[in-house]
Amino acid sequence: MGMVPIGLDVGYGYTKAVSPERIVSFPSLVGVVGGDLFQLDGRSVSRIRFDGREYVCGEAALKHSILSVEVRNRDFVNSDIYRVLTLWALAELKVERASAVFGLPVGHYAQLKPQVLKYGGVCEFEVNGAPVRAVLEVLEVVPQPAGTVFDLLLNRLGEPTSEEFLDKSVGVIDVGYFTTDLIVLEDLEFVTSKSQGCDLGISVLLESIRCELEGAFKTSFALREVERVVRKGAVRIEGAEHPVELEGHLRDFAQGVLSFVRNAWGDPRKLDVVILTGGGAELLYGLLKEEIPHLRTVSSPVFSNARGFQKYAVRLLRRRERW
Amino acid sequence: MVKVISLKLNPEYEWDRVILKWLERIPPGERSAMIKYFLWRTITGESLEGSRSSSSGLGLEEKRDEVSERLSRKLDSLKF
Repeated sequence: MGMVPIGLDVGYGYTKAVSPERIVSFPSLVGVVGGDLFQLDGRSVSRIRFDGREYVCGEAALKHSILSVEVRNRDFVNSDIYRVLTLWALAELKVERASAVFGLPVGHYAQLKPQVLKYGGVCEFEVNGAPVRAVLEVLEVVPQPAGTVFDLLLNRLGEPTSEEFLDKSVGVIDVGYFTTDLIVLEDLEFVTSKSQGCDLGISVLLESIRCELEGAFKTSFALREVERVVRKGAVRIEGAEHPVELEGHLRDFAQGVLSFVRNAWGDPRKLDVVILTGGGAELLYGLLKEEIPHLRTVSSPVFSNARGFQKYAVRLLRRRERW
Repeated sequence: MVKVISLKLNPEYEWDRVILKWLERIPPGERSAMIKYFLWRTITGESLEGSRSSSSGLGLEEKRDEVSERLSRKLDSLKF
């Protein structure tokens, strides 16, 4: 059986994975469980056993684990959590032989790439008690925002379909959960000096909203709860929906992102193309477009990097196997 | 193990459309997806080949080939 080209974007906030047939996404959370988990309707909670320990991942870690862990430091890729999230993504994609393109935050890219390249090999683990023997090959590791460029340039066969980025300067603003990453390509060459990352992600916006909510409702909120408030524009307390004003928080956050962009690039209007991507793109697009009129975004920006990694994986695999 | 798949085509119908419908019925699988994309691309003319066939004039086609090759070279030599 051949290798399946996949894209893996194990982010600090969410893990996104794409195969030719599936797209999966879950919070980058891993929880340790002990014993059976009681469910009223007899449903079982999916779990993964790796290296002698049993874990639940994503939303299940939030709901069912006493201790759920999310990691946002530069040792992330060396942690068991990163490995468990990667294996869980393979299990969710239902792929047992994968050739993957991984993404890394721009700020830690050079330092962490050699470690991710060593990630391949045979991985043995259990999903809900059933043994899984997966083969994972790391084809390439790229800075996360590059995925969006591949997503726009390549079709599902990994072939270029658009010539519009040739001879042009292209900037990508990738607003993620804990970081904002920028890259610039000039005539499709990566410009290192203008490609930077900083710890300014959606979590900063959520923190400021959390402070306001906690003051107003005299109770504490987890960051993941505030996420739901932002999605709905309202908070549910005592069985009733209370609208929450987000505009001011969003404007402050957009200004922060814009300052970072200007520090790294100067005036972004000097770039021929500027693309906004990542989990924060839909929230910020309108506000950033006021300052960067030629700003554009992509469809389902939260998945664009992982989609692009997958298309690039197809290209690399086809080149290697000459088909 | 070699698996053989066969398809009967009635020339009175639009063959391309029949093939596409047939492709849609192939159950999902790992490699079969890639084969499907290939056949789909050939029939629908998705990607650069598709836009090429709609253009007239040899000069324009050659120019497109050049641009496409340059783009491919750039992509394949991309370093981060």
